[in-house]
Amino acid sequence: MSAATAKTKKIVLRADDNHEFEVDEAIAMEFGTVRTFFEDNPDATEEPIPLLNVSSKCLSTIIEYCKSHLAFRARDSSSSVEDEAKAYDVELVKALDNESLKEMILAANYLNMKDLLDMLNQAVADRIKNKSVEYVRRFFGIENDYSPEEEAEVRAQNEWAFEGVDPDDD
Amino acid sequence: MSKLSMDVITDILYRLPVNTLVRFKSLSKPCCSLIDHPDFVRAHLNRSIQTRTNLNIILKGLHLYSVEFDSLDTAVPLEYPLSNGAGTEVFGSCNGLLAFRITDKNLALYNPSTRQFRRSPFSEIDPPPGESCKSGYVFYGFGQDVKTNDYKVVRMVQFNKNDDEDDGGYFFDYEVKVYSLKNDSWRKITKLPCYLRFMFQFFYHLLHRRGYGVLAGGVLHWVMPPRIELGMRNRIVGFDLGTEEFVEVPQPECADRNYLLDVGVLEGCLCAICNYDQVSVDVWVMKEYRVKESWTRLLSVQKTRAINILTFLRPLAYSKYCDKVMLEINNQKFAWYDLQKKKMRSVKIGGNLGTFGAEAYVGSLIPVEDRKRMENKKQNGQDELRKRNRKKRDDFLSQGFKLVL
Repeated sequence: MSAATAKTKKIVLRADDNHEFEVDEAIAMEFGTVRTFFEDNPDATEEPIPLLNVSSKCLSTIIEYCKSHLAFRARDSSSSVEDEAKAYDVELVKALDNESLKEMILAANYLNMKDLLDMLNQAVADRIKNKSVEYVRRFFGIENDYSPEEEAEVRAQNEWAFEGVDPDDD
Repeated sequence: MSKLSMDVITDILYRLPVNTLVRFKSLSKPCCSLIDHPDFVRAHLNRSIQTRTNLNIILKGLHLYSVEFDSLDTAVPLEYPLSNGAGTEVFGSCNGLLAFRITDKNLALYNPSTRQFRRSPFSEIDPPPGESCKSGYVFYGFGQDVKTNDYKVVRMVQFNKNDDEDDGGYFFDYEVKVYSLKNDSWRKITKLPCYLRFMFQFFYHLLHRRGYGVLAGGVLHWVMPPRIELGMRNRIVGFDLGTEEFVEVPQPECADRNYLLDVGVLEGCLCAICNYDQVSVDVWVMKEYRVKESWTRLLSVQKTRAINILTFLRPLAYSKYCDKVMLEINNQKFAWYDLQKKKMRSVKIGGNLGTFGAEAYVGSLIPVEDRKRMENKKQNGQDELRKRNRKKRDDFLSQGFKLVL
């Protein structure tokens, strides 16, 4: 990075509904797919970058996420800053319902953003850990291909694992 | 409705605790196959070890208790078949499997997270031929032969002369047998080091459950305390689970050698616990297995006003961020040792626990049964069910009706 550049370079990202977001280069580089794109096309910085599978809602949340985490990293790596970053993530996830959480995961996956994807996957794991089988089938869109007898048998074999499950609230 | 790919779902499943995964086998047949698949099981276990999650402590007293390492709140009784009897011993753990001693001839393996239980075949104890003696103390060990992915149990039996003299100078050869889970059979080890006969010492081994081998580097370790009258120093005795041979393991080079030696393990690295007169205890870690120079002193604990004597100390596990070590003290207490501040802080765990030995174990999906045996069992179970249903129906039809008005 050249120290002489006083002006921060801006990059335009376009969501799937054609809404455009202008961000600092540093932020854009947090997006794995964007970074790869620029490595392959170093001159194409003027054009808006189309992110076909990402909604405006997701993109704006992800941009905020990157801004915040870049700021955290710039401060220092003390445990108190780490705790703040974790608290930020917790708040971000709390505000997402199941559908939005899944959309964010699809976006993070498409954009090749490993840390964000890691954090979101962990959030899903925490959210479903005590949930019933029916709830999780609905969450992941998993079709139940057990016959009633087969399902009863699998459940009977592992009866103890069904204790203490949260009642479904969805 | 957004649908996550199987890759993402698998990544999420890796992060779940084992009891949740057992429940989620009911999601669908593909999910069940995924969770049962050896690759998934292995990846889930590796992830738990790397991230220091799904860790538990088992408390081995008169009864068995377990407490989750992350929360360290109340110890709950360990659920297992035969849990109505006291006196079942857990003599080792590896990758989430616990090894149970029901009697000296009756052992079993149990995965407390999946609740799979399997008895090993009965194994007779053969005294040395031509001698009139009876079995005395029994040493145990449990671990994995990494090369063959087999789990093995080691049993070493000491013998006493039949004419009930006390420990009066008769040292018989031990009987050493190894059980392989893969072969579901026992094998006798005939090549024994000469020093083995002198291993058992009443006060050393009976106290603090020192008869259980410590697993590190694919080798089970026991301590042979010194026999001054025979000019023998203390020794770390190792049994290599791969080659099934005894090996010697070097001790750390301590400035002061006046210690009582114990062995432990921290994240797969062998520890030497040097107890100086119950006043202070040093714990050394062998960072590279069998490399004497890699012995490093990890911590040093002094007696305090709260803990005014150190009869026994064992390291159990690192904290999640590796800044502290959980210690078991005097078979009664737990304490965190802060590696930076070099200070010890007691930890209170709920439950009426008495005295116990403690050991860390990971929650895993590792099966005790191999899949073929399970398929056969399942098939037999279904055949049995069909037979019983047919009989019930036949009985019912043969009884005729009795109208009650």
